[in-house]
Amino acid sequence: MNPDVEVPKIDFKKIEGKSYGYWAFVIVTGILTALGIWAWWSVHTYGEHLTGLNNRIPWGLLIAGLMFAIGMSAGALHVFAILADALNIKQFKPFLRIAPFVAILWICAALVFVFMDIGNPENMMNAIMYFNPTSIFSWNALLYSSYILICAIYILLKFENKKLAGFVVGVLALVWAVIVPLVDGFIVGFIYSRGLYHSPLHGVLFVASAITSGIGGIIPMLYLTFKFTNRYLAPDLVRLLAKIMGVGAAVVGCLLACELLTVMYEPANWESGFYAYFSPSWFTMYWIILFTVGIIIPIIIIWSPLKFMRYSLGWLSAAGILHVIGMLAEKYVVVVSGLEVPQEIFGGKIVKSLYFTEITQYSPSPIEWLMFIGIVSAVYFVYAIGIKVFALLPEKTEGFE
Amino acid sequence: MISRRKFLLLTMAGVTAIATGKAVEFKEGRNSELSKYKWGMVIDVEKCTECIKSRGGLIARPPCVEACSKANNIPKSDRYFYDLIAIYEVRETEDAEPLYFPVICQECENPLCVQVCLTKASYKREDGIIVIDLHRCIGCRYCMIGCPYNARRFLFEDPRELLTVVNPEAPIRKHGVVMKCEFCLWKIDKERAMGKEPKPVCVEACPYNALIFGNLNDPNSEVSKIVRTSKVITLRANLGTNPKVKYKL
Repeated sequence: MNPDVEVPKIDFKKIEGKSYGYWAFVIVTGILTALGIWAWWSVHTYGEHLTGLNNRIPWGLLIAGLMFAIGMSAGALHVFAILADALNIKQFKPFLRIAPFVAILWICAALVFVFMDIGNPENMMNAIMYFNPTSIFSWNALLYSSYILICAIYILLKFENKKLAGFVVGVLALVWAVIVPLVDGFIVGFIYSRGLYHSPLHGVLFVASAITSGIGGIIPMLYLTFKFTNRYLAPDLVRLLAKIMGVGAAVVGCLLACELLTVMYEPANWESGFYAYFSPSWFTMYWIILFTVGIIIPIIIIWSPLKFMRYSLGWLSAAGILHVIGMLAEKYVVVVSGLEVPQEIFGGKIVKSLYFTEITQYSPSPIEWLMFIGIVSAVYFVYAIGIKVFALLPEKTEGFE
Repeated sequence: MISRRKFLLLTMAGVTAIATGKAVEFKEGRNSELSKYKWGMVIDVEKCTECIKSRGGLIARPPCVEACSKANNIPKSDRYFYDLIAIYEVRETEDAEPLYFPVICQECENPLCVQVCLTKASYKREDGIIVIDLHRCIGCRYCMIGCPYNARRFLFEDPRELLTVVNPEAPIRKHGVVMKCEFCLWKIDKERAMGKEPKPVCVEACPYNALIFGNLNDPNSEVSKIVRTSKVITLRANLGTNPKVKYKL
């Protein structure tokens, strides 16, 4: 960890951004972003009845999106800050501008998820004005805003080529990138009133999935950007990233298995646990999308016996995308399945009410999907503009050999 | 000459410093008059059961629910359940006779809703009533996630369009905020100031006198006597929330 180690000069260059493909991408993501804003405006004007939420399930797709975006943000920064700054691996230094930039985009997306989800955005400033130290969400708001600031300073120092200051802020950013998803996991983990929420594992799980989904998101992003701008992306760098993602994905799978076994060990949880993990409503989401698509298939691709597959940037990008889908499913399962099961107000008794005692299912409404897709599109829209306006990407990368 | 990057850096640092400084400023009002009271309620389950059974069970809307909704500007909607009093039918076995429990905000001593509220919009007054400051609520619904008793409602629709009668004394809300039972704060504060014994609307409306409201700090109040002398339970006592709404069995 020596910031003074001599590093060869890296040539960063803006992309030209003149091709039809580039403008088509900008226009499509721009239109989707505009549709997302329209969807939010509709909900804000006419009421939250346009969403699929209700008084039993007050959180849904957008809160899952918030937690997913936090992971994407922290993960994008984690790996490059560890590899390039902390471990001082020079091959990863060329990514030290793009990593914090992507981290800023996703953390901003997380804030927009919150903004679009809340019912009374006119009062949004109250989240900053009235800090509640006992609210883990309040701490999250503080951490999100400070994380943006740290990432912004980090990227500016990288532009200015300030080595020591860049190293110090890089370490700080790294610490923040661990704390943010950890505390994000506590948003659900601290809720002791709900059996499927209350777990100390959520924080750790969110950190692990942040690292993996961050890499999963940035591999296809780099692959496609380098490919379409005719820059060289060294395959062994991507392969190393993919291997880290694969190990992380296995850790995520292990943590999820621990959680499942802990929940199902307690007889009081059998009903809710069976519903959340094995009922037709959740089986596909949990076992197919989360475990199979998000964890098992990416691991098979990364360590495939077929050499062309495990060294192909296209296949590794596909593994990244599948893992990101799986981690989004994980956040969705955590947030929604824990709410669909009724709370045991009269433990052990046979209880009926007009509203609160049956399992209620939630499906995001088209308006919620539009908001979700709009926010994700906005990330890629700003990314496309950002790499055209700022010199964020290296002209080429060097492999290990 | 300061560079654009440095200017941006300094501006962001300044904004964050101001925001953080503002955030850690604590200004909570104190009212020693209120601290004399600790409002609580005892619900006589047998009497409630008798009332609700006589009206046909769960499908009925007992007078307490009707009166509460009317007085507190609670909208009636086909799509959402907004009533602040939810009735639960509870049995030991399938063939056992049911008991009916009206569940309102339990006005916990250790309220999770207040603990989790992002903006301190939910807070506990000195008399123990948990209140939502509608001007502070951002509608994040974290309090609803936390509440162990499903006692909070989010207004998915504009209530002003669903109300047939409006009580100007009670809060009139808009969509996008959370509401809950506040022991008819607007009424009991007025009655207390007038030297009367305050009573929430549901207590007055109950034809069976099943709801007893009073000051738990006063050992001579009816609620205190019942708590001392009868078998009362609180819901989800294992959570440590210590509700001030108790059920007499």
